[in-house]
Amino acid sequence: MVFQKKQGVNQLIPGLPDDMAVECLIRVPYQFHSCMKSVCLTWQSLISSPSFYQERRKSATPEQILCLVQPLPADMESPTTATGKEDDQRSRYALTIYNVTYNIWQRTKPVEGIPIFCQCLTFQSSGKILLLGGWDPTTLEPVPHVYILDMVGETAGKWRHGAPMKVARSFFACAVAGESSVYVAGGHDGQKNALRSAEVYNVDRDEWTTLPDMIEDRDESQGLAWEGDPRFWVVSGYGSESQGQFRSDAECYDPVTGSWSKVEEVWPFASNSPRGANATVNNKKRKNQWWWFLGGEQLRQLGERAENGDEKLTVSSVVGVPDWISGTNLSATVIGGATRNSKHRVFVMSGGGGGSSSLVCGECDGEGAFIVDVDEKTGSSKWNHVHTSPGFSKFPYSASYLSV
Amino acid sequence: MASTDDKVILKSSEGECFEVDMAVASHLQIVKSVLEDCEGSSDKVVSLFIVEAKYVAMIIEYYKNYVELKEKHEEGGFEEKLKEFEKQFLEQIDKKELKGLVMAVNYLNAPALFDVVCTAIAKHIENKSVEYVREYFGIVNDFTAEEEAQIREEHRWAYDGVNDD
Repeated sequence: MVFQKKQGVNQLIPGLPDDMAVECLIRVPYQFHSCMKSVCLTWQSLISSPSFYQERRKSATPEQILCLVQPLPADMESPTTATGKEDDQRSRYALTIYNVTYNIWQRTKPVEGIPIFCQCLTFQSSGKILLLGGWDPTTLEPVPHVYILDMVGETAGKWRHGAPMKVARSFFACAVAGESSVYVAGGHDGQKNALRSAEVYNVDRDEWTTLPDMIEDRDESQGLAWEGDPRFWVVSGYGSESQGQFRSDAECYDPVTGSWSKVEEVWPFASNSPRGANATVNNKKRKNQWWWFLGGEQLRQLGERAENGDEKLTVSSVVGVPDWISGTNLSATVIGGATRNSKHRVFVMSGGGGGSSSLVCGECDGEGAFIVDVDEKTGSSKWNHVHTSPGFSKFPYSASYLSV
Repeated sequence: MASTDDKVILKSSEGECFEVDMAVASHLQIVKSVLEDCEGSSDKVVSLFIVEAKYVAMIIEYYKNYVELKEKHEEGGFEEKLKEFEKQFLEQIDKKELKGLVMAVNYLNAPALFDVVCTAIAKHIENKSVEYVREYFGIVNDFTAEEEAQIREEHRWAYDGVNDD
């Protein structure tokens, strides 16, 4: 009986069956969820349960969120020290939460701040944001820290520490592979030595395990992984002696064999890091796609590039970056997970000062951000400007996507 | 029989009958499945045993406009026009009716209107104080004063730089 009255104080909404009340509550935007927990005990336990967010993804429209590691704007650095002149040269960082759905820019950090150049990763299934490694903002030494911000569940909105990495490192390759693993490899230590060590973090067990070393040292390398594939790839990077000379090869760790294997001729630009301006893309038909976002000289250099064999790491698409994007670095993040069709949306930010394009609104601090609509089938890409609130226009060192 | 194919009669819990175009009624999954079950019968009456006449009327009004707007704005603009209408439509429904309507729409299995009504209820939580939400929905605060103070402190997002959008 649909109209059966379940009388009692525990009904989510008095006078409405609970299954229908849930349908209403999952439609409330994410930013009000913390407030909803204060209404009553039944709401508190509903909003705190992961199933509420599973339900939300299933039948309502979940919100799209981008997590960006960005420097704070100059006037917000060291807010406690009015005199703090000695700090002036150092950027303080925070985690930006950009809500794509509602176009809201917000910022959060643990009390002590976040490490400079830390890496940001997300776990969709458990709604977690992780910040790994980077530099201590005061000593500028690499740190092994792991910060976790839960976006859902009982502890939503609170920062906590995860078990630290076994090796303090910065500028390393990392990626989430499988349900609950984060792979980390390479980077450099406190003496600027390039590292070949690698480790894996199990987020459920909060535990790091050392992996076999990579074949090469790889500082400033790019980590890659694809949904539904347990392997972890580390692209390019350089050894201590050849700083800034980016290798063309990559290595792949296969957890099934527990070993690394090398793939030659993956990255063609010896003077540029592969970090940032690329994205891993999946769709039902074409899995494990790797997209590059290239502009100017790189795009011209590339020309016709022969593709590698099947089992190797192949670049499936090169998305041309318009000349009017003025920043030299680029950060690209795919919005949404694997899609059923050939259409993808990618969030792109360069932190540039703003060029002459009519696309840029002129009200952002710099050129703002962009969302590129790419259609695999037609190869077309359409660039749309995203207005950034004041203070959110700097280059995101690391970026990751999550839906809530 | 073919000539009556485009009309159906919906009967409310009070026994009130509403003659509705099939194009409108087909948005109600329950009507579709009932008609499929008794295919061949000339009797095109669907009894909605537990739905009051006022809700049947509201649901018909919504889908009548939905179908008309869709036809009229085939070339585009349908979604905006529908939004405009939905706003008007919801304005005439009070709090108690909103709950009754959710249950009726859920029973009739009409996804588009279900989403509209659930979202309308959700709007009474969005941007509202905890006190307003409790009052509006008639929810009893079962936290102790200490618990409540602690919860509010815990769940406060330490965000800076919220914009006005």
